[in-house]
Amino acid sequence: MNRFFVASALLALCAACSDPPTSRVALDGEEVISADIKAVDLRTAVDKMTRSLAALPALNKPGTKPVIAFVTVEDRTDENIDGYNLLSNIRKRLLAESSLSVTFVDRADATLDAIDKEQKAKQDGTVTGKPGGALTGADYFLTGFLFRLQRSNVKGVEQYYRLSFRLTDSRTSDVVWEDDYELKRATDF
Amino acid sequence: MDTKRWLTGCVTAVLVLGGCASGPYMAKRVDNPLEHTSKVVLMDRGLRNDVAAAALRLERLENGLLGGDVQIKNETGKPLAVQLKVKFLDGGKFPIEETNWMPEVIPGNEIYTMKVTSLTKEAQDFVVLVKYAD
Repeated sequence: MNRFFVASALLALCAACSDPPTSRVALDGEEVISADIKAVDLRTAVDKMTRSLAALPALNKPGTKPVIAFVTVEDRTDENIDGYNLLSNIRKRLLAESSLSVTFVDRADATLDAIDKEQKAKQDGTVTGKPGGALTGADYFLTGFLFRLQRSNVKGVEQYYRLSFRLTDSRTSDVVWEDDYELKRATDF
Repeated sequence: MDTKRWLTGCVTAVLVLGGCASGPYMAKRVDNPLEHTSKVVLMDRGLRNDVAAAALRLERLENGLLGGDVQIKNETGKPLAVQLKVKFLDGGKFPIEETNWMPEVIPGNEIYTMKVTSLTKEAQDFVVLVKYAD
C-alpha cells in the first residue's frame, strides 16, 4: 500500500515537473523583475499620447477632418521596440474610442503596392469597380523616437527611457505637438 | 470494515462535491459600490495609511472633453510605488472608457498631480483607482 502511494506521489511530481506552469496574467501586471521596459510602460505611453492627441486644438478645429500618416518611429534603445506597434495602438484608440474626427492614411509599402495593383486591375477590367483617383494626402505626420540611457555598477543597473512622439505639419514641417512618457527602472544584481 | 467505511466516505464526498459543482447561481448584488460613491478608491488596505487624496478638479475643456486633475499625497517618508487608473463615467455612473494601470513612484511626503483627459465628450465624471505597484 505504501509503495502505491510513493509511486503515485512520484508520478504526480514528475507530471508537475514536465511542463513549466503557465497562466494568463493581467495586461498591466509585471511578472518578470528586471530593469527593462515592460508592456505596462508601452501601454501607458500609448494611453498618454492618445489622450494628449485627442485634446490637441489643431486636430479639433470645427468642420475639419485632418489626415494623418505615420512616419517610422526611430528606435535608439537597442531593444528592438516596435515603434509601428505603438503608432498603430495610438491610431486604434483614437479611431475606436475618441470623439476626434480624423482620418489615417495607410502608407505601408505593402499596402501601396496592393492599391497600385488593384487600381491597374480595375482599369484593365480584370476586376470590377472604378479605378480611384489620387491617394489622400496627409496633413500631418505622426512619428517619434525611443531613447534609452543605461548606467550600471557592481551593485546593479538602472535604465532611463524616454518615448517621445510628435506631430509634424506636412506643408510647413512645423512640429504642432510633442509629448513624451519617461520612466526609470533599476534592479540589483 | 475500516476499508468499507473509508470507501463509503469517499463515494459520499464525491457525490456531494459533484452536486455542488452544478449551477447556475444568482450573483450577489452590491448596492452603491465604492466606485460610485467615492472619487478616489484605494484597492489595497495598506494604502489607507500610505496615501491621501489631496485635491480633485474637474473641468469641461473647450473641445468638449473632460479634463481632470487629481492630487495624491504620499503620507510616508519613503518613495511609494503605486499604480493609478482613471475610469471616465457617463451620467449613469457607467464607465465608458478607462486608462490602463499607470505606474508612478511618488517621492516621500510629496503630492503627485495626475492630469488626465477623457477621449470622449460623453464623459461626465471620473473615479481614480489606486493600488500598490506589482
